Amino acid sequence: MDIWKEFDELKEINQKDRMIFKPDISKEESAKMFKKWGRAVEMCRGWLDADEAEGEF
Amino acid sequence: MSSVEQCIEKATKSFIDQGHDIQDIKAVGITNQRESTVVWDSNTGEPLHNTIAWPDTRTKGLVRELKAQDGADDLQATCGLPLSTYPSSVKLLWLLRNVDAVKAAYEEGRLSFGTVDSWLLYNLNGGPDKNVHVTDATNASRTMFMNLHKVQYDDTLISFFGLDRNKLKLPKIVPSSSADAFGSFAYGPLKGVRITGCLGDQSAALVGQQGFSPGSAKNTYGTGCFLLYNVGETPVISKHGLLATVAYDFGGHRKPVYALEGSIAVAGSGVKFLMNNLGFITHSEKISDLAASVEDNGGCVFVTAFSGLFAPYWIDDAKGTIFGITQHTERGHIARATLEATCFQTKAILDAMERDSGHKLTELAVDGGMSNSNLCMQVSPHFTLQTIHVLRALSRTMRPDTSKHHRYSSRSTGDARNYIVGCRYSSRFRRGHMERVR
Repeated sequence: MDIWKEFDELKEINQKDRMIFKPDISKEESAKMFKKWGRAVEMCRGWLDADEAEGEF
Repeated sequence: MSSVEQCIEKATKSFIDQGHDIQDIKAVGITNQRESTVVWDSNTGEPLHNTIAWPDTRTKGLVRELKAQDGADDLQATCGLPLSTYPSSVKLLWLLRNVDAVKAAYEEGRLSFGTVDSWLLYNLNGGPDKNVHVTDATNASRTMFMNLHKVQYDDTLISFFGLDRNKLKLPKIVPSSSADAFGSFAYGPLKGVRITGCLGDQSAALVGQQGFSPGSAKNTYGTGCFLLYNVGETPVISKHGLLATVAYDFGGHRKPVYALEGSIAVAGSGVKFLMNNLGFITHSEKISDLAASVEDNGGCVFVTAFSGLFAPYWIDDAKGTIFGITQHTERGHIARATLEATCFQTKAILDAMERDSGHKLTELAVDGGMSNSNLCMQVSPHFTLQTIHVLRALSRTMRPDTSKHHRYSSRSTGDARNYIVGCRYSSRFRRGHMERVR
C-alpha cells in the first residue's frame, strides 16, 4: 500500500467485507409503517408528570 | 496508559507472529472516545484526577447553572454544540470546582487539559520531556472551546466558562492528518514510529466508511447508535437539536469537512433488554432468528424510550411503551418491533439531517455490533429507502476502553480503518507503507 493523495484512490479499500441491503418493501408500505411509528411516539408523550421527567436534554 | 501499552505490545506481537516485520509499520493513527477529559500537571506529566468519561453525568447540576447564564443561548452558533453534560468544557469546570489539586495547578499555571487523544499523544511521545500537547480538529470540536467555523479556540467560549487562557494549557489544534504534528513513539515496540493520524471515534468510522461526499452518512449500531452525516465544507447549525461537528480535517490544501451528528439512546441495549430482562433469547445473536420467526410485527410498535427520546424528538416525559398488543402477540413480534424502533429513529434523524443540511442522503453505511443482525439490516432500508452498505466487524480490534474497567472492546470497525485511511503521509515520505495495527 502506498501514499494516497486523492479520495478516489481509496475506493478499493474496505470493500471486501461489505454487505449491501436494499429496501424490499414498497414506498407506500414504508410510509405507512413510519406514520404508525410517528403516532406511537406522539402517544407516549406525557407519561411522566412534569416533576418526574428527567429533562436533561 | 497501561492498557494502551499492553494493547500495543500484544498487537505488535501478533503482527510479528503473522510473519511481518516491525519495520513494516511506518505510521500509526489514533482514535479515541471523544469528550472524555484528562487533566495533568504540565511540569511533571502526572494526571491530577481520574478521567471523566464522556457519558458521565456528574455535571448535571453544573449544566443547569450554566444554561441560566448570559450568553448560553449563543454558544451553539459558535461551537455547534448545545450545553449538555457531554462536552469537555463542563467536565473541566467540574474538576476545577471539585478537585483541590486541579484548582491549585490552575492557579499556578501548570494545568494541562486534554481529551484522551491529547493524553495519549503526550505520553507516547515521552511526556514532559517532549511536551507534545496537541489535539486534532475533530476532538477539539467536542470540547466546546473551539469556534467551529474557524477551527480555532474562541475567547468568548472560553470566558463563558470563566476560564483564563493564561492559566490553562489547552492542546494545540492541528489537522487530523499530519506528518509531524503528532510526533512519534518515544518507547516500546513501536519506538521511533511516527503517529500521523488522529480522529475521534465517530469521525474515524465516517472516514473508514469513506463518507467523503456531502449527503453520505454512517450509522454505528452499538449499545446506542451514532449517526454522522457529511454536510461538506460549511458547518450546519441544526434546527432539530442535532450536533454540528468537524467530520475530519485532512489539512494541506483541503478545508475541514463538517458533519451533523445525532444519537439514539437505545439500540443494542434494546436487544439486551429482551435477553436479560424478559428472557426472550439466550444470546443476543439469536435476536434475528426470533424476529424472523414471524412475518411482520403483527401490529406491534415498541417505542424504546427507556429514558425519553433523543433527536429529533426530544421527548423527556416518555418511558418505553409497546403499542398494539393483542391476544396473538408473540415474542417474535416484540423482537421485530424492537429492531424496527432503531430503524425508525434512524430514519427520523436522517430526515432531520437532510432538512438541516439541504444535502439529500446519498449513501448510508453501517457498522457496529448490531449490524451483525441480518434482519435488522434488512429492515433498516425499508424506511430510509436507501441502499445500506454494511461493513462487518473485521477481526477483533483491540481497542483500549477509557472507562475505569480498562477492558478491550471490539467496537466500531471504522476505528480500525482509521488506522489505514487516517494515516495520510505528507508527500515528503515517498516510500511510505501503511499498515493497520491490530
